[in-house]
Amino acid sequence: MPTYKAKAIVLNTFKLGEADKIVVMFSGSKGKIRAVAKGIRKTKSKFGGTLEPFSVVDLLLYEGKSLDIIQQAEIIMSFKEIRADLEKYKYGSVMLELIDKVAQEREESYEVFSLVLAALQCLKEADADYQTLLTVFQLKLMAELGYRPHLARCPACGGEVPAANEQALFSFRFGGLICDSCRDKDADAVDVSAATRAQIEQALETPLARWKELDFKVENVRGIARLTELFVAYHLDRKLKSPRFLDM
Amino acid sequence: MYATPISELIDELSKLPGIGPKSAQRLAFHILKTNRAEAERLAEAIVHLKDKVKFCPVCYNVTDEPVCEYCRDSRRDDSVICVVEEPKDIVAMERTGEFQGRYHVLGAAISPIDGVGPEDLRIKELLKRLEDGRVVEIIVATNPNIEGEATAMYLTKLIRPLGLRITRLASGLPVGGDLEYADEVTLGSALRGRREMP
Ligand SMILES: [Zn+2]
Ligand SMILES: [Zn+2]
Repeated sequence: MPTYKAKAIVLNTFKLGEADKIVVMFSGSKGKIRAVAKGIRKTKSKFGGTLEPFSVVDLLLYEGKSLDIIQQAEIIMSFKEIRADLEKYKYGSVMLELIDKVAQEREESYEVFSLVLAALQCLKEADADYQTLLTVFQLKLMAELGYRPHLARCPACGGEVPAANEQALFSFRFGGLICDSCRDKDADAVDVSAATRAQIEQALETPLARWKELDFKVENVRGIARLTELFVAYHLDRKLKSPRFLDM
Repeated sequence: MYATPISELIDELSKLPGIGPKSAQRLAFHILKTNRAEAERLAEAIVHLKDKVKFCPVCYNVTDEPVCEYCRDSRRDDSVICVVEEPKDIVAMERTGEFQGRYHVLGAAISPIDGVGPEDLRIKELLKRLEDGRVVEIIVATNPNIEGEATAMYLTKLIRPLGLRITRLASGLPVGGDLEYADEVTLGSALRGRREMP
């Protein structure tokens, strides 16, 4: 059987048969990888805790007919700080689910892979404000996937959008701020405040590792988070399961 | 394509956890080859299971009595409840012979990415059992994997304010494994060495 190597982050696992698991992972070189870890649920398994969600692993895999088989897995980063903190775990779960939903099998995805690693590193080091981090990550992920929100010019007609100090209409369909004369083209467009517009722009300009420098006002975090969530949901065309547990 | 009765059985079997279409096909043809009496015993066993076995109304273990044997036994200690994910984990704990308290079966573990949250677990039922003040310690014996840990952290957040002692099986249990596969020596020492939840 042909083998290959990959560096991947574990997104989720599912029980298979008596003692195996299907491990869903995301790599830069191959996009999403679904592979079987044999015997992993036995307490004496060679895999131990290496293939738990959030772990970043170096893998050796056999190429199988339907599912690949994990031959070796060595842990590079465990992100155990995320797993050991209920708050971080909840926000981290949304990040992993997002990646699980957008990633494709056999599709090189080095940029998205770096982005999610950076986001998890930030989450690991953070001590508050996880919602802001998640929102910035979502915006950057959408940008990486080609859905960077249009903020400067109306994506429907190319015209001027309202001045930066005014509120404006955000259209999920057109992917950004639309001008007043296009407001009839999307009845579902939502109002966004001048502050939220400025924050989206800031978030897109600032490197993820410097997310703490963003001065999102507390009263505004929920608003921008909601907008981003709707934007992501619109483009994913699927509902995420994990965000509704952020308040648990 | 197979004759309808065969594909119907294959369909039903492949709904079982861990059974893919290939295994379902193998099982269906195995059943086809067995004699009628054997096939009837299998069918009857399944129907009996559904008719006779119920969840214990106290701890949600499976039982064919009105209340399960661990809840009935008056010699067991009412002051300690061991919280597990599944009824089969009670079997694993009982094998150690070291636990004399009561049990509570949650029925699942928290996993946001799979859409499983606290309201899908029997947590309200657990809190109800703590109301009369007899319980002084909760031992969280969920699986030593990410979902089990998240469940333990959530229960701690919820129960700590009630002033109870909350402990977790010691880390001697390998991460990633299932509790049901832990041998009784390892599980026994994990129980004895249980630590307070942070
Ligand atoms: Zn326009
Ligand atoms: Zn019971």
